[in-house]
Amino acid sequence: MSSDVATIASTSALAGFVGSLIGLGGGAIVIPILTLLGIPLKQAIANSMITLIATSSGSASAYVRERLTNVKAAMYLEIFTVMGAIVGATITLLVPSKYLYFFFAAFLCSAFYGIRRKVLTSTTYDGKPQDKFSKWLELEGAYYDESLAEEVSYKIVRAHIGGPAMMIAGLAAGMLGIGAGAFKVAIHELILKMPPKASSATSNFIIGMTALAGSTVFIASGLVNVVLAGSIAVGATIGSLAGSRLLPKMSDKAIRGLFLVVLTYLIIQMVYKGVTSP
Amino acid sequence: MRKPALEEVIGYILVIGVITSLTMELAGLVLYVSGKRTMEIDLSDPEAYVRSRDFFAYVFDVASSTFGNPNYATVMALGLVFLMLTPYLRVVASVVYFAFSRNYKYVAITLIVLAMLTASLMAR
Repeated sequence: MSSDVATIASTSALAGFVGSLIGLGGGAIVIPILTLLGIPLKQAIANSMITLIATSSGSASAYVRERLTNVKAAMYLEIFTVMGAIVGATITLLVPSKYLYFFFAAFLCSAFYGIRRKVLTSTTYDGKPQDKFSKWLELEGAYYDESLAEEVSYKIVRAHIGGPAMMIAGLAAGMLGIGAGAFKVAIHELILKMPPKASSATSNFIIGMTALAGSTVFIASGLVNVVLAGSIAVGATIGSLAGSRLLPKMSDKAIRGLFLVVLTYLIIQMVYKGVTSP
Repeated sequence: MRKPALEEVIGYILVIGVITSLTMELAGLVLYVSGKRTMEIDLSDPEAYVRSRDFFAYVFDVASSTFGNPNYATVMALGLVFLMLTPYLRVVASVVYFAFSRNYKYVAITLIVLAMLTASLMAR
């Protein structure tokens, strides 16, 4: 295993490609692979976190102009994710790497469960009456759904619960250098009752801000190597752009089924590294 | 003249920021490989590490050294600075936009996010 520019950029491109296909984000895949290439875990987390700004902002720019992103909801929820990410990144600098491997494995297990559920079921939006706080925050939206060929309007509910819950997503993101998109989407859909497309687009938008919050802590830590970060950023962005272009042409079940195999392998690797590291 | 929607302003900030920073990262990688005559990433090379005091002071350090004596490390560091400033600028733009729209509720909400990010960027 070697850490050269071509290997890091190509594996990051592959991770970004697979990540955008299944909506998990590149960080969750690229970090375990970087550790397999000999990069220390904390360094992999710090450098991957900065590059998440590029992969998230690239796709977010399109979603936000198509009005799929709920900007007001994102601004409100970012209060909590930014706070969580700053605390999470600080914890990562203090905790021994051994424990971070186990945290990572636990996160991948939760993603495994989420993807498996998506293979078996699909989420549907059920309209709920809006509570006073969500109404005060003006949390509603509308977008044109091409697959349904109609305008979808919705009202967000339970913002008083969804906000603090997003702090946990921010904490996980900051600690592990990932987008924690699966957590964020779950909160958007299950608590806030956002429709799936608005939920994914808004989650993607928030990931860029959470990544910046975590990066503000890592940038002063002496862990950020410009060549490593640059190689990951270029590779992961190209990969995620390619993945998002191919996405409409591929079978959902086949992609997710294949990815469960990859995820199982990464979980085993993370647990193994946690057990064998000093 | 039509006032652009917040979504349009944010969309352009994101796309311009990402293209600028990735172009600089790519240019830096070319300078690195052509200058070092190797693809190997040397994790023990101190020149390749971001050494930050206050982030905003670091921005000026990196910008002045890139224009004074450009090399792979300063070009790539400037690329990372552009990358980090992209979401930061979209919060600044949101504060300004909501202020112009007289939506003071959202001016306050976006200012809280901006204050947390700024405080964290200024921490040593």
